[in-house]
Parts: sequence; structure tokens; C-alpha cells
Amino acid sequence: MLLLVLSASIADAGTLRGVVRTQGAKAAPTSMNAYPGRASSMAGMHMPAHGLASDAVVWLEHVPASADSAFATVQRPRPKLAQKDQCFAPRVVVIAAGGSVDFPNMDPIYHNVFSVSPTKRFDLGKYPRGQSRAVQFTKPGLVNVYCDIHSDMAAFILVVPSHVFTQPDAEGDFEITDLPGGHYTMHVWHPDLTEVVREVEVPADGARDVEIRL
Amino acid sequence: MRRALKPAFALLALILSLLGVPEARAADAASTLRVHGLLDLGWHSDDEAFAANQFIAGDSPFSPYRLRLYFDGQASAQVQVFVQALLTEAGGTRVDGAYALITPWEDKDLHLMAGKIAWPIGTWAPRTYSDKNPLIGVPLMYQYHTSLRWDDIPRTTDELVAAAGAGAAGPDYGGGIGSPGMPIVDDFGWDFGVVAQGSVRPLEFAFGATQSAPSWASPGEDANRGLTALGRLGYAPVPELRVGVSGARGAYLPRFFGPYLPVGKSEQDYPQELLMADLEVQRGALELRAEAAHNDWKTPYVGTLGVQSGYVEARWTFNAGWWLASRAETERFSKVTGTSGTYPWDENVDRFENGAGYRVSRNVLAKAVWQHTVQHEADKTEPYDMYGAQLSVKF
Repeated sequence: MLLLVLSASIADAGTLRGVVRTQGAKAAPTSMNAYPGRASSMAGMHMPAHGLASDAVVWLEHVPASADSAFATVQRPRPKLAQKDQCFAPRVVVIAAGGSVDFPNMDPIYHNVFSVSPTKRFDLGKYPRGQSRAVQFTKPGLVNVYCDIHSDMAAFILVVPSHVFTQPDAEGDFEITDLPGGHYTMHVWHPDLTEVVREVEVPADGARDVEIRL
Repeated sequence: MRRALKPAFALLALILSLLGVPEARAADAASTLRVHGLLDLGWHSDDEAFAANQFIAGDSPFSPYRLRLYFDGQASAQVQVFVQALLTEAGGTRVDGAYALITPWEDKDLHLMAGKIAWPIGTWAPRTYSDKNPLIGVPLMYQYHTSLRWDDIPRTTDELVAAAGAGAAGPDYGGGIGSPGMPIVDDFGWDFGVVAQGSVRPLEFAFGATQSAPSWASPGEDANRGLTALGRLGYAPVPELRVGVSGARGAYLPRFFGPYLPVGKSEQDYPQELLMADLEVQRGALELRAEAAHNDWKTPYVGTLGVQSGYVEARWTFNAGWWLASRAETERFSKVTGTSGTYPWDENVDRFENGAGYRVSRNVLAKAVWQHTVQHEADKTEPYDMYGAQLSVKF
């Protein structure tokens, strides 16, 4: 289970925990390579399955500014969207607006990373294994990420206007701790499924359990 | 020979079915069919320059519209089937390619391709699509019509030299104005054949045989009772560098020429012999590609007709989805001696294409180019300038 733990102490801290349930994993639709046999591609690659609960993003809106600032000060490693086994890994990255994402190439072949999403347009060019590029995302929204060389490669960066977010584990379980008690708008977003938005009351002391079906 | 070819393809079909049917029954190998396409909307400013960009059917990447439809089928875990059809204003509807792709081992990059296949030589075939071409035009070596025809043969060098520059219109060597002349490798016409291709990093390979030669695919039937052997060997020592050499040798004349050939000769005695080299360098925002071709056509009455062609293409991509691209290329013809002197057997030609592109969305590209073509006639040069634009929509 993923835990989001604040180093800063928050008086009257509550917990939001729950489970995200999906219809189950489905094989990703693959586009076939009509021109195989190039050293610029890897053999036998499989796209990650769609519909996984762990690809969901849970984030909260209407977080008190003081609490959001406290979450912002939590030391987290800078998110990575790696190019590995001719796929983007992980498939979904969530960051707060203003954050940056690293794009390391871990494959023995060239990759390119680009996006034409209105939230952020960029093209990082082509670079080999061992090299990385970074992009800062200042505007909230969804960023679809692709590779110009391998058209099957696709990933999602969800840029949220809040620092209170998490992703479920493989079973769909998630937990956000150290929340001030109060009323929140909970967004549960998934790249393959319809987003669910729900109002939740988090107690000042104790946990609120939720179940989300996508 | 022609009859011998049919059992070979029948055998191949049997292998395909043996490989495909048991797997198709397997629970983990669901059959799938995917239909997708590529629509090109084009514009050009000059019809004369446009003519120098046309394929044999009269269409061109600068045509008002071209619609490609792809039908990709996963017959089994090891067998895929690809069919692509092209609908154009001038050329009507045609099936460009239709082939089976057998991948015996999932974890190995080794494939057997059989059917109406793209030429497994050079590096243009995967880039012939508008969403892969940073410019609009096709390199000369894959499209430009020389004045040598597959369906009519010059009897004298004077006749040949007189037809120099008439490749696009269709030179007349006594058989009447017919089809345009042959390019070195005809990107318009893929051929029936079999090729094994794959990679064992850092090497890439493709070896196979087709019914006719790269300059004339003879689509539809085996017109000259023989096979063309062809292939490519590539080397990619580091991800940013890729080099390769390709070759092909096979008859290009159809067998109906038999009665008109010198005594004791057959169309097999007059092959196309092609040697190509390719280079690809990619680094950051820069992509650099080059290809060169040295081609000989053996002819019955005017000897060996040589042509050398090459291009260098660069693309620079900017951060916001813009790019600039440029291609410089040339095609040079060997000289023949006629009664009035020694001349290149066709008009040498140079072409420069420069342009900019913008990725509107993942599946929509917009391009604008300026193309400058120079044909070197015996006593003057003839320049053509053309502006073109293309909207490429993948769906």
C-alpha cells in the first residue's frame, strides 16, 4: 500500500484511504510493425496492459493552503518516466504543477520523447542509453507523451494543481495520511477509464474509507 | 522457370498455413484485424515540376489527395498479414503491398516476409509514408523516370540519346509512346517475393528474391521467368549511427521481348545490377540520412547503361514540434557514343528540396516545401521550381 507521510506535523490529522477497482487488466492494442528487422527496435516487446488499478491517480482538491504547502515540502524523489524495454515506465506519472519529470533512456536503442498536448508541448530529440532529459510542467492538465521512433510507446503525465495526490498499488489500495479534517473534492483519474470526482469528508482524527469503481 | 515459381509460392503458402492454423486455435493467440489509414492532402504550384515528381500512374506525394488504407491482421502468434491500398486522384485504387510476416521466435528479431513486399534494399521503404518523410517529395533514385523503358527497347544509341529527358512522358523507341521510363528503384511498384530479414545487434540483414527487378516490379505476374536476388546488410555499432549496403541483380525486361533479342539471348542475359549504400546519423534534434546508388542496366543493343544517384537529407527538430528539413540529390548518367558525339544517355538531374513542418497533433503533420529541380540538357540547363504543401492525417 502506498503511503504518503508528511514530515511536517499537522494537528488533527486524518487519513483518507480506499481502494480503486477497475474492470481488470486488458491487453494493450498493438500496432504491428510492417518493417521489422531494424536494430533501432527491440524484438518481442509487449506494451503494458491497460486498465490496471495502479495506473489510477487519486488527488484532492480544496486542500487548505497551509496543508498543501506542508505536502509540498515533503521530500520526494523527482519523478522519472523512463524508456525501458521499448515502453515508457511507469505508464502514468503524477506531479504537482511546477514540478519536473526526468526522462532517462534505459534501452540500448535510441528513443525520442515528445508531447503535443496543450498543457505542455515539447520534443526532447533523440538520445541514447544513459542519457536523460528533464521537463518542467507549470500548467495543470494532462500531458500525453510519445516516442517519435516507436509509435506504440505512450505515457501520461497528470499535472495537478495540488500537492496531495497518490497512486494505488497493484491491488488498487491507496492511503493519504496527515490530512486536516474537512471537506475535500477527490479526483480519481485513470488513462483508460472515466474519471470519478467525489466529495469526501475526512475526519479530524481517524480514517475515512472509500471505494471507487472505475 | 515461371512455372517453377508457382510451386515455390504454393509451398510457402503451405508453410504459412501450417504455422498459422494451429496457433490460430490456441487460446492465447486471438486473431485480430486492424484497419487504419493515412490521408495526405497536397498542393503544388507548378504542373511541369509536378510531372517530374509523378509515379508511373500519374500520382505523386504532391497530388491533391492520397489515401492509404492499412489492413493489419494477426492470424496467429507467429503470423501477421499486412495489406495496404492506395487511393489517389490520378492513379485510382491500387494494392501497394500484401504480405505475410512470419516471426518464428518471439524473442528474436528474425522474420520471413512473403507476398507483394516492399523492396528490402536501401532505407526508403519504411520512410515512404508522409508521416515518416520530413519533406514531401520522394528521392530521385526511388521515383525519377529515366528514359529507359521496361516495355520498349532502344535499338541504337542515337535513338536513346534523342529520347533523353523524356522519361516522365514515356520515350518512344518505335513501339509507340507507352509507360514512363524506369526509376532505379520503383517506390511505386512493389514486387512479389520472399525475404528473410532481422537483426542481431549491431547487424541488420535482409536477403530474398523477387519476381522482377527493383526498377520494374512486374506486379501481377512473373513477366520474365526469373528471380531477382536482393538484400541489405546493415551495421549499427552505436544507436546514433547506422550504415548499410544493399544489392540486387535480376532481369527487368519482360519475356515478350524474346523474339526481338539477339540470337541465342534471353531476357535473363540483360539484368539490372544495383549496388546501394546508406547512412543514418541521429543525435539530439538532428537527423542526417544519405543514400547512394550505382546502377547498371544491361541492354540488348546499346550496351550497359549506368546511372549513379545519391541524396543527403537533414532534419532539425525544434522543441515545440517544428522542424526544418533539406534534401540535396543528384542523378548522373553514363555516357554513350552516337553518330553525333558522346553524351550522357539521359539528362543529368539535380534536385533540392527544403521545407518546414509542424506537428499539429500526434497524428496530424503539416509541411511546406520549396523544390528546385535542374535538368541538364545537352546544350542548356532547365530549372523547375515548385512550392508544395501537404497535410498528413493518420487515423
